[in-house]
Amino acid sequence: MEVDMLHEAGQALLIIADPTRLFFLASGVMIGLMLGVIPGLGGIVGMALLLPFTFDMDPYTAFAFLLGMGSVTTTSDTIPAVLFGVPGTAGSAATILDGHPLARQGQAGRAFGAAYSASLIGGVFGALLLAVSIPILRPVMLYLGSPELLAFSVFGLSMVAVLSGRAPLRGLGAAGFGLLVAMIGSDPQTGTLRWTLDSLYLWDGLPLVPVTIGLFALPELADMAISRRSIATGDEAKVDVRKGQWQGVRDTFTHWWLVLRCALLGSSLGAIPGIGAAIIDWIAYGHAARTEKGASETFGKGDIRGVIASEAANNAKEGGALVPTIAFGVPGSASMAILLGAFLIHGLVPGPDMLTKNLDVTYTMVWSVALANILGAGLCFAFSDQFAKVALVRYAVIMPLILTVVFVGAFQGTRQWGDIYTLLLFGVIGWAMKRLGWPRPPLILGVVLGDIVERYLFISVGRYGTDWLLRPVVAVVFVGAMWGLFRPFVREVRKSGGFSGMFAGLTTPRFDVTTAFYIGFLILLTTMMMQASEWNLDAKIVPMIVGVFTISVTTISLLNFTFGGRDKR
Amino acid sequence: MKALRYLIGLGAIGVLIGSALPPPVQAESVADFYKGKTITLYIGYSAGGGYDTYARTIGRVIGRHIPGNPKVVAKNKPGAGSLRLTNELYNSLPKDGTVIATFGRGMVMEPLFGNEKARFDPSKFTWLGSANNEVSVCIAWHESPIQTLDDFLTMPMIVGGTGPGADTDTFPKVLNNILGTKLRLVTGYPGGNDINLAIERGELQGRCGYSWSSLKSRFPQWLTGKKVQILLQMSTAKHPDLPDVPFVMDLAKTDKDRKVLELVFARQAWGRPFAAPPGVPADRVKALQAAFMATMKDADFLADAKKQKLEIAPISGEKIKQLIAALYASPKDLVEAAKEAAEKTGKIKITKVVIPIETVKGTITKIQRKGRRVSYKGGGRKGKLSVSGRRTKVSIGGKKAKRKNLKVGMKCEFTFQASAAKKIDCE
Repeated sequence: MEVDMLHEAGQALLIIADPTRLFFLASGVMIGLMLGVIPGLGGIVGMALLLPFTFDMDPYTAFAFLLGMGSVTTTSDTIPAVLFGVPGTAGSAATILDGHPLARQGQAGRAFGAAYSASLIGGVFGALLLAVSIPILRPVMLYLGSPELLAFSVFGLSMVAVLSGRAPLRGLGAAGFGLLVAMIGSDPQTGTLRWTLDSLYLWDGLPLVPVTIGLFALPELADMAISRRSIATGDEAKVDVRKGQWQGVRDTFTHWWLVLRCALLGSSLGAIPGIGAAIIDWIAYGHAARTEKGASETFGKGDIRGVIASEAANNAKEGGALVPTIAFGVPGSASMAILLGAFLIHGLVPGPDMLTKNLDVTYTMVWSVALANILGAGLCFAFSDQFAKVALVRYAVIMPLILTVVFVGAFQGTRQWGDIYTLLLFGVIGWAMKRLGWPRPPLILGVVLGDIVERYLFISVGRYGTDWLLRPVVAVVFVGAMWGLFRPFVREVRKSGGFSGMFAGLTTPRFDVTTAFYIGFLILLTTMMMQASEWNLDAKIVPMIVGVFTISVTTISLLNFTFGGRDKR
Repeated sequence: MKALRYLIGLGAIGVLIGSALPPPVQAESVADFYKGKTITLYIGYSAGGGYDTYARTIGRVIGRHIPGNPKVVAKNKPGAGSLRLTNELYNSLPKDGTVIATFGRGMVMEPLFGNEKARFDPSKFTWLGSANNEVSVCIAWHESPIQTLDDFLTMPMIVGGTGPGADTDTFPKVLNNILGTKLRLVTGYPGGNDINLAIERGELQGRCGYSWSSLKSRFPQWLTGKKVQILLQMSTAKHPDLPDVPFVMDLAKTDKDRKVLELVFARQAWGRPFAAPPGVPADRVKALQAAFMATMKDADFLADAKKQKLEIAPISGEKIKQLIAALYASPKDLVEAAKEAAEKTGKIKITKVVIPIETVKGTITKIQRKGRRVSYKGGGRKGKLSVSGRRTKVSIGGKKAKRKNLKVGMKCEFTFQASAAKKIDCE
């Protein structure tokens, strides 16, 4: 069997090595890299645009072209993420957390080096996993139902704890708000229009791109304008970029075990339809923040491991997403849905045939993903010393350029004026949060996961009543999530000498801008809850639970802030 | 100031002369207008779906059939299940013939059913035509107990939906309310493919509201491998591929029921609709409509469509307009009944749906209709099972046997789901 597979894999390599096919693979990679750099554009748009060009190709070439494009958007998306704090695709939002601080410290080159090499290893690993696991994945996939998807999403939510840094209560509050933001729009159960303010724009909910960019990029830009410096501050700004890149590559290899873990996470999650690209980088980042030594001190302040984790995972995803596409004809991601169109055009039927009769096609796809990742990382490597210099340019020159990228990127959300309003609104929220010491990642995590959690909760309850809680995978993952969520709080409470200790150090109450922010936030939440109370039960139950929880957490946090002394939050 | 007054005066004279003289020969022909222009073809959904695929395929060809050969660019404008685009097309997009669009077939029904957010009058759109008459089907997975129309009409079945307003949600409700089926809808799946995967892993038993053309092209392995039973077809006419599949209109018990069904399923006739805003100049309308129908016969287009397994059964814009006029002329009570049928969920709740497969050891106590009905007793239970010639595996003494060979008094192991026997192994 193994010999057979190796033989097939070798044959497939010969097929893909044909110069024409390599040429198309390379063209795909070039296009993909460009799409990845532009925020808001990514693999989905690329697939839709390129598909018609593949009609007259043979299947091997067509897949080489399309996969070449699709595999590398998550390699080059690092560039705007690191330099500007603007994610190039939804998959690199978590890269910003440590990548951008690195650029500000003058280490953009190092961040690039680490990101590309991690992307490369992640991508190849994902392809490899695809190659060896195809034969066994059908039964595994059939075992994972909606309750398991729900469990994974809840597990993702439990990452809030590690993404909150030293302000766990505020983190929970932000995550709760994120969940509520995700629930804006026509709800999937009853079609109730939730918090749409009579605007058609909000029917489909807030698009992720302007929210993310507003939350992370605009505050950085505002601070840059205020401080009147280039992106890179600090004394190390003159460091040789090339050397930095090699330093980054060495970092990746030093942390090879982290790379492999995150690659495995990325490809396995990518293989589950319903868990989108926007989530995978966060889970990988959270995983790293939870397991790496000393992470709670350095993550979010320019720790290279944060970059490595999210970049390894988001490139590994592509190989994983091919699995359900090939095995079931069920696309693992939105861009795979379009790739499925290519299957039909070439008369290929996804399913068992792809593992027997058309195994050569399957393996050429594996090779395409692997080669594209190598080529994409290589190209990025070659050209990024130029990009990295951008970080040294004076703010007055670079600022208008970045702002253009930011606005154009945000407008790709749905191409309506609303995208710009959303961008600005979340820019203000993000800046306030940054200034007042509220962690922003939990908010975005809530936005990303809110929809899936509610969706699959209803499906699970609607289909199985309460029986689904007893499914083994669900139970295990839930316990893991609970442990992950509460451990940091327990530790926090213990550190302050138990609950009594927490309230022992009461000081005279204080009121300042933060208090105003708290109050404003609580008023907003209460208004939202009052509106929600008028909806029918199915539409309001989840928002109400989340809302009441968020209000409680925020109130406790407010009390803690007001009476708890200077250094506690 | 003087100059301005002079200009206004000149303008007024011009207008006077203009209205007095017979209109000059049309200064600009359709070809002149479109020459060098770009037509934008808006799609009310995101890239990659069915509407998108149809639109992009048409967009590649239609330009060459319009006088002046304009360039045609396809753009996605998703939102609110294409309601956003439909509103914009009617109210704000240019009405000079440089914008055409495709949106959900159900959009036409929205104003009729009283959706306040639908700010358009469907009969006033400049309809160009539809690329296909979509027949929608109900399917059941081969492992589910529902395998025939009778099962479908009498037994509960779990079907999946993508959300309120979608065919997958509306059709089961209508069938429950009008035909009395006992479909239980689990809704909220992100898309049709997710429903299909849920069916394959046994989470759902089937799906009601699935374009036959999509099923045929996207999941052919389900048909060739006999993985699904096609229980019912829903449209305004039967599909030529499916002569033996029951047709929803034939199941209506009363005349009113039938009319309600016709109202609900009317949208299938314009399954892939294309339209321009209202008020496009008449000569350009003619040119666009002719171009649409010419595209439908274009050899390159048909080859393209065939490659992508798109079904092409076009109807003209004029025809769509007639159908919509008829629809909107329906009596009010009928519209109300249809609206209620599409929304009421009361009949859907069924407490127990998961029917376990059970095994009982016992003896055969009675045989009816040459083995088609077998009564048993044993393990503290007794009951009557229906034995299918194909789906029930019968064996006697370890060897495969026919149901007519079963005899009263045989000691057997019965495996069954509700009253349907799956397996009978006798000594």
